[in-house]
Amino acid sequence: MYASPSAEKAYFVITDGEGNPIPIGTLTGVTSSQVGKTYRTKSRKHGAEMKKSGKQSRMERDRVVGTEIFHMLRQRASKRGKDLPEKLQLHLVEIRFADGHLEETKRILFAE
Amino acid sequence: MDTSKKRNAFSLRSSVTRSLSRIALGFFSLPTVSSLEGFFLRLFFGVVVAFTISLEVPFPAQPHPAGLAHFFDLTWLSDPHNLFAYRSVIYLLILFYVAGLLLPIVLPALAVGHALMFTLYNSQGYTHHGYQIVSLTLVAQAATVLYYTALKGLRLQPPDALLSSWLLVQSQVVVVGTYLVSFFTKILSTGGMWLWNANYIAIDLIKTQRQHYFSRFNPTDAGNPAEAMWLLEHPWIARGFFASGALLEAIAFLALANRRLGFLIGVGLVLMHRSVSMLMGLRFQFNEMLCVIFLVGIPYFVARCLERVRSRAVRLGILIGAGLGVPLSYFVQPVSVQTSMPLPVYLIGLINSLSVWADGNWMDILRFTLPMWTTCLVTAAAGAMAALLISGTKRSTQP
Repeated sequence: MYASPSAEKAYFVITDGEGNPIPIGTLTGVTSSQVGKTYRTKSRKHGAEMKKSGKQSRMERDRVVGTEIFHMLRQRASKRGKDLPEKLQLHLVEIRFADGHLEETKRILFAE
Repeated sequence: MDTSKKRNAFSLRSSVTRSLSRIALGFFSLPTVSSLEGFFLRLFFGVVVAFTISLEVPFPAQPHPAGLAHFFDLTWLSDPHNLFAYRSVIYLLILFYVAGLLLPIVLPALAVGHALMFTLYNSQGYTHHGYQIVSLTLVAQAATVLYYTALKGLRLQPPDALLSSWLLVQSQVVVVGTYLVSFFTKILSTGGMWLWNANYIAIDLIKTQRQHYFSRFNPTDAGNPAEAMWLLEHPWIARGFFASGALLEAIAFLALANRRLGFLIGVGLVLMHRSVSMLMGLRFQFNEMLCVIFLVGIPYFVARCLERVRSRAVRLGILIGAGLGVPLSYFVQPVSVQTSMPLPVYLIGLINSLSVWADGNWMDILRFTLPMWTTCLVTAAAGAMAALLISGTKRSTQP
């Protein structure tokens, strides 16, 4: 449990095409935490493959990983009889505690 | 005056030495496990194993194979018919396990079978460690039985006192081992700085709450948790609080020394998990259940209570009566329950009522299980009376 505490942590948010968060766990059964774990697993796998082939690009990796994650989420949603928005975005939010204040910065990793 | 001080210091030193040597010796002696305690250990653990397989695995693919999924395609478990058949086999194996029959065959099959479902779950790209402690305990018990068989020969009847002791100790080793591994992971992954940085677990707390919120939009998860903000503002108190948990993980192995220490450490670990659950909403229900069974020793206390009944026949009568009360309680349930679920589904429903451990929905579970508890009480009493009558008649007919 909590093997490496630090002043910075990150989590993942799935939004619609406009950047509005959607309740991904309710719609797909895959929680925000599981999205994060999947992103890391797939990034490791594709990162290693890209390293082998000599093409290392974080943007390209995020595109491949993001596409796979959205495909999985759509499959899970349809199994539950739910619809996801036509366009999805994968956001990374970083939480930082510095000088007695909590800061959060958000950036898009991949957008359809 | 000086002499009395010296004498007191000497007696304190010798009593500390005695206690420490008693603890140290405890690691080299096996606990005595009666056949009744062995049965309750298998019964309680068997119920937990049966509860774990209520998990759904609707995964038609295994994109990131883990463990056995590297060698076998486990996606057949995602088919509801196959899952039903799989669960039926596991339930059957659990019945044999609880009865203590064919353990050298049943336990390895149960260990591998149980792992299949969770291997498929963990082959989706997001691992979940919550069930691993259960699978690991099954693997340890299977290895113990196989080693015992290699040493003493094949035994298909219920385990003897030695094997029961081994099974308990090896299960305890797995439980406390998971905490020791967790402690060393903390120390190694932070280069020994874990305690110093422990106050930042409050950031994890905030992150977890955000993840909960963005999963389900539950309004109670919105905003910053007040406890986390307070801990961030009081880093030394936070360090002390989280360090106490890490310390408990580090000394968890002492539970192997004797039952008293096992009880104390088991209770401490359950309290630690409960506080984590309250603070972060993260539940470690299977860790808690296994701590209660193997460290706190609830099966030991239940067995001790029943062993106070001197007559073996009456004890057996109580056990058989209580056991029969479980399926019989189906007929005491309201008609709505009987019409909505056939008997096998009802029995599985009783097992799955263990979900109360995590969701705390006590009223609903009590309403559902109360007929079972009352029926078991009545049938246990009836079993005891029948045993008394039979043994009395036998005695009176003896010349």
